[in-house]
Amino acid sequence: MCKRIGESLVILSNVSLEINRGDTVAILGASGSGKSTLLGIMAGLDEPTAGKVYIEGMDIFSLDEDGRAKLRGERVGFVFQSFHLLPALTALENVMLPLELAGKRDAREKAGEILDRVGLKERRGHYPRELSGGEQQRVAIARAFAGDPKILFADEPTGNLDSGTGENIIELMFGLNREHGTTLILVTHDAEIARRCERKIRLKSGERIE
Amino acid sequence: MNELRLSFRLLLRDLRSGELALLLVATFIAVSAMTTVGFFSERVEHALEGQAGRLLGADLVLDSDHPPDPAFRAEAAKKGLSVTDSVKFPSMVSAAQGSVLAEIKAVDQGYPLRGKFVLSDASKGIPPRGTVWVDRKLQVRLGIEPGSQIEIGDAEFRVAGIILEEPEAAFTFMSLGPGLVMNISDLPSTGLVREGSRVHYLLYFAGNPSKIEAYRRWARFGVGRGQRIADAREGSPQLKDMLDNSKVFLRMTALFSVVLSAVAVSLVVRRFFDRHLDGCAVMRVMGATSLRLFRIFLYEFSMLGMAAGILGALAGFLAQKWLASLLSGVIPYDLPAPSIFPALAGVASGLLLLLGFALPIVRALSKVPALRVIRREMILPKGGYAFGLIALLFLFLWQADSVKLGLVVFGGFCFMLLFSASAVRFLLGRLKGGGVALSGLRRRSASSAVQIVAFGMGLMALLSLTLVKADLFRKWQETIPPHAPNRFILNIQQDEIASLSEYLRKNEMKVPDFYPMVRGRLVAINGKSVSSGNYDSSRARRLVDREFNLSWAENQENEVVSGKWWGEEAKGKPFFSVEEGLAKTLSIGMGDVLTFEIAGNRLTGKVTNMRKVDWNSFRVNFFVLTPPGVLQAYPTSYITSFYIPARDFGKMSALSKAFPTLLVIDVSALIGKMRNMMDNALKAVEFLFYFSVIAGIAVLSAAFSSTQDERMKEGAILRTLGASRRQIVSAHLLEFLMLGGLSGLFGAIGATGLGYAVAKKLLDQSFSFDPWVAAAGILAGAIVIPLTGFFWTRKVLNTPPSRVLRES
Repeated sequence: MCKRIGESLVILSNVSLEINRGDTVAILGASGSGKSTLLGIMAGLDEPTAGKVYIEGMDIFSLDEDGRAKLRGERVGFVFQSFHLLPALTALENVMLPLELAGKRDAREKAGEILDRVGLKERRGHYPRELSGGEQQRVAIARAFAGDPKILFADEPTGNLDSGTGENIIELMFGLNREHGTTLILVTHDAEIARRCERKIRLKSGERIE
Repeated sequence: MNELRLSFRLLLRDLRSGELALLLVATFIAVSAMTTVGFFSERVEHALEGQAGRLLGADLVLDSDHPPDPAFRAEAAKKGLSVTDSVKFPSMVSAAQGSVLAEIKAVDQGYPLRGKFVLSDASKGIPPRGTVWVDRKLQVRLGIEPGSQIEIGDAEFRVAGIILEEPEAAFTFMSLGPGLVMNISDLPSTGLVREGSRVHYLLYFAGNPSKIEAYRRWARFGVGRGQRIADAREGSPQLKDMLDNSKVFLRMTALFSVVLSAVAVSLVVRRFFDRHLDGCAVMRVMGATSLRLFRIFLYEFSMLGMAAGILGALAGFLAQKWLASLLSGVIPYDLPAPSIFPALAGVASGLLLLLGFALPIVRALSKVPALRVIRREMILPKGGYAFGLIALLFLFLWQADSVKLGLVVFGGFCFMLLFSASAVRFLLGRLKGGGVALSGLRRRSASSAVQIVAFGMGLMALLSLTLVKADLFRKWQETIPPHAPNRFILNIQQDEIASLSEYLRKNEMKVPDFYPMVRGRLVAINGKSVSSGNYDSSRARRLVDREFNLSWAENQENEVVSGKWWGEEAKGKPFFSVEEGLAKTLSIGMGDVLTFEIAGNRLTGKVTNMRKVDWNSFRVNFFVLTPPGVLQAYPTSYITSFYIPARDFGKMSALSKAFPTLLVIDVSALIGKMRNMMDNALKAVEFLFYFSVIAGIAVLSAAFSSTQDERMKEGAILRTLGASRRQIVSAHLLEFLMLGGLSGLFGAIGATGLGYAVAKKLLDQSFSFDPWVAAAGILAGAIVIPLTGFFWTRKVLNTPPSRVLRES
């Protein structure tokens, strides 16, 4: 796939890759190498200038934005560098939200269970501002796994955390990944995280070099 | 169902976090203001009309010179109105000491339908058969007391009471002589009412305003020759003016609360948008389609609107109840019970207002691209204000109850919006230097502009209400100045003027001006004879059917609106000066030739000028004037009006005795009633004004809270960089002063413009530019806005910077 802005600015150039179910993949590269753009396109958040993306055999850009949103709701989970928790909601409510959007009746129970699993049993009723960075990211991870996604996209999940906390988060993510059999695709420039992934895709100036 | 539940949960969460609290409050204030105004003005309007009705003894009167068709009564009964009747005629009344010509009123059970007789004793209802009540004039003239016997026609009656105050004050003014009230059942025994006698048959109607209105519409077509329908407003031009003006003002106050609430709501939803962008992007990532998001937020806002609406309607109901209880001492009878309609209208208006401004935001939120979670610099869809403005226009036309009022006020605010928005852009674009404060204004130029415009609109609303209110108060006060004439003397003969003047002087009363009066009937315009059949309006027909008073004058006492007042050379020439209202009613133009029939002779002349007459002045005024030397040859009597203080009322009885042929008319009761009514109307207007003030405070709060996040972040960064509290406070102070001063200036400009439009277009008053308004606007802006600003931004200083930065 390719992504250009205007005529001259090339962000991704002829990147082609295939990821199998259950893979753990790290996308590596310096700032501005096009990592986040690649992730955004794979997740259907951004459209490529040319090229196609298939998820389980379906060309996701043959769907409109609402169709892709539906697909994301059913099969995809996200973890962001800046957590993106809704500040007006408690930890539990943040985790409940994707379940509620999907119309699940047992949203509260399910969200509670998964919050327990990430070790935040005592923090259910707390608001994001009352949680530390690591705790916020754990809520975000719980939220991402709440809907049993087939694929989890993570955009620099430890980028805003100190190394100790970051390690715990990675531990948790890989653990949940194993338990749920999820495909894990993450963008990072942390070599330690990349080392734990089965596959590495390295970008440089929008081109795949590994 | 699932979505409704989710929306409800989101609503609760948003409310809990305070995101929507201000919106709830703004809508609540809007609805409660509208509902209070709705409830209260409905009740006060009815009450004012009821009180006006007290001057007539009913809500509607049919005055007929022959017994009216029974259908009038039957239809009124069918419509559920109360009906009663009376018969009025002049007759000699004799007692032991002599006879006097008096105005007899024979009344039926139930009379009066509005107001009551005040008698020297505690009698109620109407005089029992065989007895009469007499007024003081008759008592003095005949030298009778309660218990005396009098004769009317063939029958004899016992005087049972003295009338101190009559329910039909308006008619007292018109009916001339001393008066007497008897029971209608005694009428046949007097033998006075026969074919051809000069008798008025009156039918009185009362009931709820919509039924009265329906009846009036029905009756209009049944009114024949010699009949007319009068209501409180028609009966007295002063009352009509006042009722119309107070209605316009009550409605206008309601509209201003709506504008202010709209400003507050639009500010709050803007903040809601900013705060929900990220959340919506996340929800889009999590699979919510835009339609789904739209519905979820639509439901959320609708539920909020309903809740705020119901609470607001309840609060409005309570407020008007309290208000009514305050007025209970002033209005001497119960206000009519409120209907449910203002509550429903309030809730609907609240929803309309809220959704009008929220829907574009909801739509924009539902279209937020999911990619925003990765790329913050994404171009975002924006919600516009067009939809809200349309909703507002609709609300205006609805609540204003008059297209003209709605359009004038709406147009005024739209113009202000455009003008101040472009002026602020222009100014902020040219702002240079000035340190942290001005750079703050410049940096937040978009939100600064929004704030200045919002404050400006708030100040404009309050200032123009103050302006119009002051004008209205002044006009009402001028209507009846403290020493307005309260006595009229009619039927003065030329040779009595000297002795009457002498009498007044001797009794230490001021000698008033005497005006000549010649009775004549208009028979032709431009040589073509006129009759009531030529006219559609009942007023025109009445004027043509009757004789009216002509007079002559050398000096100009009224404002001349076209043509020129005559000078010395016009003496003796057949020129007419016509009152403009009369000219309009009878389609008389400048230069037309009018022919009057006066005492069997015809007088023909040309209309050379038109005058504007202030009928509210309680002075002697005439429809038609000629120069001196034209009417002198005709039978002339003189009329005068003057003021006497209450302590001298006794002197008037003596005067009546000394000059038995004069007709002295006492209008002090009428004046007293009108004053009382005006005071009540002023109190109501004053109270409603405070609603706009509260709505204005909501605007202030909404405007400050809309930039709260930005200020918090900026304050935290400045403090992290080492700025002292003092530096931040003085930067804020300067910024608020600029904001306040500018919005005060715009508010004053807008208020002056709107005040002008309202005075000219709606209230038909003159408008005087008041430089104090500009000063007051700027001063209010420069004092109130910084104070409120500090209240809102104290959080900026009291929250640790680390927390602010972490949360952002």
